Amino acid sequence: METDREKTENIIYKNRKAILDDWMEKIKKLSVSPFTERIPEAQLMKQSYDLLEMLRQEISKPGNGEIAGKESEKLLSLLRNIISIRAEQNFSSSETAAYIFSLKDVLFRYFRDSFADAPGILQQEVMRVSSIIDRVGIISFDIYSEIREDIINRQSKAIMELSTPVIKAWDGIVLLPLVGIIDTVRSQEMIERLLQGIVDNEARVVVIDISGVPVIDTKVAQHLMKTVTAATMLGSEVILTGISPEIAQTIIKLDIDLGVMRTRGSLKAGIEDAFQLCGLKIMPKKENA
Amino acid sequence: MMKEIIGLQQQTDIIQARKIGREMAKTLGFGSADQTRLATAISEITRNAIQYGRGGHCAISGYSDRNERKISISVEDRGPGIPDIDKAMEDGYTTGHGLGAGLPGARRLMHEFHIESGSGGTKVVMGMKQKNF
Ligand SMILES: Nc1ncnc2c1ncn2[C@@H]1O[C@H](COP(=O)(O)OP(=O)(O)OP(=O)(O)O)[C@@H](O)[C@H]1O
Ligand SMILES: [Mg+2]
Repeated sequence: METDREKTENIIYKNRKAILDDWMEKIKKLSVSPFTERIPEAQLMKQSYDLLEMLRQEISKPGNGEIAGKESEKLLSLLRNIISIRAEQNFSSSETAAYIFSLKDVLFRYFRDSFADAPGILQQEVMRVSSIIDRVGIISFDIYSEIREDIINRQSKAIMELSTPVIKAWDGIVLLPLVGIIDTVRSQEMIERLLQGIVDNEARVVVIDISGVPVIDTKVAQHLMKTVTAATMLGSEVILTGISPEIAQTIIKLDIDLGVMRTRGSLKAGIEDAFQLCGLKIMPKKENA
Repeated sequence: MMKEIIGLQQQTDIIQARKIGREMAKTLGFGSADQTRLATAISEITRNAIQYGRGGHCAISGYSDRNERKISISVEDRGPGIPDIDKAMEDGYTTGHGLGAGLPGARRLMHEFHIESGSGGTKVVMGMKQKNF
């Protein structure tokens, strides 16, 4: 006697080509932008076919539909593969979920035909398979979020490195032009890179230019002070430049004491100071007689 | 009359709030020094709401008529409140390893400043206005 589970599995197995076609039809319709522009058709077919096969095995297993154990490992790694392609291609989480969940409708149409004379079994099997696909959907969502987070971290790290350059201006002089928003994470990064820059360049003077920083509030001021303290500990002098009149006003209102720092209005004046501190001087070129 | 409301949960909401504030001030015709003062005050008060008040929201509203232009900021949280407001308003008072300059600084940056606090949370209302000629 064939069990209900085996019957269901058989339905999927016998109709797998048709199910796959229906499913592909459906997901192509779901997507806002043409799916196949982002994922090659052949790859999509192959992955979906594999996924259907593994789901069939999952469905054939006795138990409560828990996606766990040795046999499910292949399913999980395939899912990770499929989802990561989508996450990298900027598919939204709902598009990604829809890909998995749309299989339900397709499968259930075939179940209805095959279990037409046994409504009780039909309902039981629909519920069972539904809960398995739900679990796969939830796992996919977790994988998706994890991968997106990874991508975002990677990107913001890249931006951070781009926007916190430590530039060697002259022997013994490094320049740190700050642009954009300084938060705790960035300030940490800033301090680390600056200290490394000081050591690498044996810098005596550090010029920090803040003309690209939109708001100097107490937090930013505190980060700046920490940066200065750290640089001073390595024996460098710090010159802060690029304080706009607007920012100067707010700093005064906030009553933050930047007195510990040597400040100069313009970057040019700061660099001149830096030269002086290094015992150098900028002079007009003398014509050779 | 313009009005915007920004939820305050995380760091990026602070940036969003002060950006909206700055833009509204600009639209209303405030100069760049005022825009910067406003943005800085918003930064201080919204950060407090997130850091000490478990988040909340920030309402920014403004108008300009024949007589004056005005921008008002209201920041509310549902945190534990400030036990001693007078002390919190003192320069240098901090319980969070800050500079203790946020509240008193914001008061000096703005033209109007009110703070209420109780066990149900904290509310700061501040405003900046200017005559229209
Ligand atoms: N929304 C709030 N809810 C509860 N406590 C607050 C709130 N805002 C401020 N406080 C209390 O008031 C103190 C002073 O706040 P203030 O903003 O002046 O300084 P700070 O946040 O400690 O440091 P800074 O703003 O200079 O980085 C805080 O340390 C905190 O104890
Ligand atoms: Mg503060």
